[in-house]
This record gives sequence, structure tokens and C-alpha cells, in this order.
Amino acid sequence: MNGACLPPVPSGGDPTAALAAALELVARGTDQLRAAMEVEWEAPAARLYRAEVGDAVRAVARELGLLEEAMRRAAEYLAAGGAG
Amino acid sequence: MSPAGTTALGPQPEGPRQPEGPRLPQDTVTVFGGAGASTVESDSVRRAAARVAGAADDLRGAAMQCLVASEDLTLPGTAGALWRPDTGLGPAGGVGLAGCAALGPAARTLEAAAHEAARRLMAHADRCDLLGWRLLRAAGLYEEAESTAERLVGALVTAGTFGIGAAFGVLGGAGLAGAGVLAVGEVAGRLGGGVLAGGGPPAVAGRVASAATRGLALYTDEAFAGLGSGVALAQPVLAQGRPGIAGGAGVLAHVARELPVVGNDDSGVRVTRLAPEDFAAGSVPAWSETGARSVQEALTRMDGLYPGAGGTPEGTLAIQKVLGPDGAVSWTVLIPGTQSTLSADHPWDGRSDLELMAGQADGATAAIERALADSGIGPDEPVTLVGHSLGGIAATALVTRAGFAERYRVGGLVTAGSPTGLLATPPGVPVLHLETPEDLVSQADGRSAAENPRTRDRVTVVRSLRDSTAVSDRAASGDVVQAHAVPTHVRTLDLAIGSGDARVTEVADRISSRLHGTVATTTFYRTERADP
Repeated sequence: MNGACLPPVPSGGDPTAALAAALELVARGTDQLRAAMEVEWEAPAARLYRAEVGDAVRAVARELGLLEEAMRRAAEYLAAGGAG
Repeated sequence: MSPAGTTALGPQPEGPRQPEGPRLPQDTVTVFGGAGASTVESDSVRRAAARVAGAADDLRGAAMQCLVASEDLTLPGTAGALWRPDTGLGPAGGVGLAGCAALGPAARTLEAAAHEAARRLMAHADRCDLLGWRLLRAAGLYEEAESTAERLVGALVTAGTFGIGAAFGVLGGAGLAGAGVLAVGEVAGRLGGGVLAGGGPPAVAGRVASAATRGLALYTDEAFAGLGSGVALAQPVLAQGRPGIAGGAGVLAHVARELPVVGNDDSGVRVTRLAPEDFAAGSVPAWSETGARSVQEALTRMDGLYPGAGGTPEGTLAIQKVLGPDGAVSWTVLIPGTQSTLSADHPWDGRSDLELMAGQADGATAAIERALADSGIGPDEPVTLVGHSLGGIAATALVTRAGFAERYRVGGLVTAGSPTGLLATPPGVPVLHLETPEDLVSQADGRSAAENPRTRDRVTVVRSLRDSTAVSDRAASGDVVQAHAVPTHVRTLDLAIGSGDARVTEVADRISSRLHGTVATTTFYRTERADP
């Protein structure tokens, strides 16, 4: 464990705050993954690696879409409940 | 980045995590030696691995946030107003965790989505770590360290087997014969079940033998080192003053030659060309007129030279001459392994195993040399030697022997399941060793694969069968015969090449370029022990 995953604390009934943090982390992770594809090594293993990281970038980008959808629903949920 | 290596969202990553638990078969392969990445490439690989590990940490952090979002829905005590029936989102007032089922449909959908997102993000994080770990391993920049516990147990095993070896030694000939049987790894596992199960039912014995093979695999190098040292210490005259494995093997080789009835002290060998009718099938193997296209194919062909497989007579080796497209001639020698644990009338027996381990004159290398001399190999024509078990030890011993490289241009060396760590191969010769700790034989030199000499030209590929998720690998991990079999080693090489490890592909390509050609002829030799 590198320490980036310290258990966050519930934010007092507002799921959008946690989801926003999740979105930010996934966006940053996606950027890091894209950067990780740059390897100055022309070995077969590096080619396999680039291809697989490319697949991972696309897969994680899809999660971004799902998180954005969850964020939208959470905002609606809060609006309907009247709490912020 | 802050001086402490942290960011607003947490510390910077240190590197990808090693996968825990059973691994995919390709992730059970470890490579030592070979031409790894350059300094510039290594730096780039490390940077990429750190980035991918950073991404993994971010994804785990995001997963945690998704769970927090879920808790914000299911722990409404902090915001009870959310759970009002008029919103359609759930009951009014706090319900706590036990009240999850009472959440309104929208909240339940949102909670399920948050949980699913967390699960998927964690899976992506694990995948990122795996990719970084694979990249570092393929570049030779990651090596699993032996744990303190493993080192401690290894030391205890060495000490324990030293005592056993010394006890066998002081018992004289009968005791040494027993130690010899133990030292010849091909039978160790098969005997192990019966001994350890105390003669119990076959199913129980099988399970005990499997468990013993898996459990002992980590420590067989230490066991052989201790056993050899103990025997050598107890019989210093027969060991000729040499300590360790070589001394112990020398003592046992003496027993294999001199023991009444089962011993064989013939010091010469006879080599004769085989005709098609000498094979049970009435014909030579179908591949005899085509060159092997890969190291794996050469290994598979060699496996067919064991008696019983295609009706090949005992003690057979093959030498193939290949004419390349450019007219260049190259040669491949296929050398199978031990075919008799006790001394036999051919040199592919336990006596040769022990003599080779002791560095003494042996019948196996003598037979190969005779066959090579008969083949008419030209001085500039590269010769590649491919050996399994005893055949691999003999091939390595020949390549390292003074004068051999002057008589023959060695084009490559491939061994599978052979203890070769004590022999130093010449620079410039591509060498590929295939090992599994569970086959026990590879570590009979008292060295694990990690301790084999590592050079740019010399690559050891080891696969831990016990760590694999594949059912066939798990089965082989508890069966010495299966673990030691040529197909297991071929699969190891397939997996290593499939992983794209440049150290393996480079050395395999160098060797295989000498194996194939447009025209091929193969001579099969029967080898026998004989008085000079």
C-alpha cells in the first residue's frame, strides 16, 4: 500500500462530494496511465505492455462515464431530498 | 511533488505491487541473466512502472470514495432528512446499516452503482499493478526476494541433510547406496510418497507425495547441498578432499561403479549408428529430414528419443546436419536424460549423473564426443547441443570442458531440468536453461535457478508450477515426473517467449537460427558401456 488510499470519511450525507473526489482521482489516474504508455524500450514485452495499458486507459475512461452518470443521479437525489 | 513525496491526494507511489495468491501461468515465469534493457531503457521502464503504480493508487483511492458515497446513502444518521417517503427515496429518519433494504429505489440504484464502480475500479487498479510488475520483470528490474523465513528454513534444511549425508557416509557401502538413490533426483519424488506415507493407501501416499514435492521444492537446493557435504565429510578419501556436492557425488559415483551386482565399472563406451530397422516402428522419426524451427521443437524431438516413445532403442542420441538457405552448415545434437537410476549397460544412468556432478570422467560425454567425431563436423560449422536432465548436464560439461571449444564451434546450448549452476559456460555462446523447482533435479547441484551464473549470453528461465492457476501446472507441481518432463519445460519456454521477455527471445532466436534450414539429415546413435 502506497498510502494514497487512506480510508476517507463519510461527508455527512452528501454523496456528491465523495463521487467528485472519485472522479478527480480517476481522471488523474487516467492521465497517469496515458503517460505510462511512453516507454523508450522496443522489446516485445514493451509492445505488449503499451497495448495492454492502452486497453486499460480505454476501460478506465468508460468508468469515468459511469461515475459522471452516478454523480448526476446523486445530484438529482440530493435535489429531491432537499439536503445538501 | 512535495519533499516528502506526497501530493494533495496522497503520497507518490513507490512501485507496482506484486500480485498475491495464485498467478496466471505466464506470471509464474522468472528469468535470470541475459541481455536486459540498457540504462536509458531501464530508466524509462522504471518511470513507466511508477506512473502505472500511481494510476493504480489513484484508482484505489477513487474506489474508496465510491464506498464513502455509498455510506453517505446508507448511514443517514448524519443527514436524516434525506430519507423521506415523499421524495420516493426512502423512509424518514435514520435507519442505519440495517435499514439499507428500506432505502428508496433511487437510493438503492445509486448505492448499487457506487458499489459496482468501487469493485470495477479496484479491479482496474490490480490490473495496472500487474502490468507495471510484468514490465519491470521483463526488463530484468524486478526480482522477488527470498523471505527471511525461507532463508531460515533453507539453512535448517542444509544442516539437517548434512547430518543425514554424514550418517549415510559412516554406514559405508550400503548407506552410501541409499544416499545415492536419494541423490538421483529422478526417483526422489516417487520414493518420497511411499516413505512419507508409511506404506499407507495409494491415494493417501499420492497426496502426501504431492504435498511433499510442493513443500520441498523451495528447499531442494539446500537439501542437496547439505546431503552432498555430509557424505563428502564422512568419506574424505573417496571424495578426494573435495567438499560439497562434487565431493559427495564423487563418493556415490564410486559406489555406483563398485557395488556388487548392481554396480558397473566399465570405463569405456561404444557408439554405433542405428538403422531404421533398429527402431520398433521400423523407421526413424519423421522429423529426421527437416530442421527444427524453434528451440521448443528441438526439445520436443529430443523427448521422442526416450525409449518407449516411438520405439527408440535405449541409450540413443541424435545428431542432425542442417543446410541453411545460404549454404551454411550447422549441427544439432539431441541428448535425452537418465534412463536407468542404477548403473546400466548404456551411459544414460545414475552413475553418469553422479560422475558428472563430481566432475569425473563419465560415459555420457564420452559417448557424445564419439558420435560428434563420427559425424564429420567441420571446424567452422556451429554445433548446438540440446539436452534434458542428464543430457543437459553432459552437454554443459562438454561445452565447458577444456579443448572442446577448440575442436567444435559451439553454436548454442539448451538444457531442460538439468543442474548446471556449477559450470561456467564460455562467453559468446548463447545458453538457455529451463528449470522448475518442483522437478527437484534442476537443483541437485545445490543451487536454485536464481543462483545459476548470469551473463549476457546465459539465461535461466524458471517457472514455479505451484504458484500457477492452471490445473495442469498445479497437478505437475505435486508430481516430480511430470514437473521434470520435457513438455513441462517446453511450456515454460512458450510462456516466457509469449510474455515478450527480450532476454529470452534474444537468446532463443540466436539458438533457433542455427536449428533450421532447407535440407536436413539425421544420424541416430546407440551408445553402450564397454570395456576399453
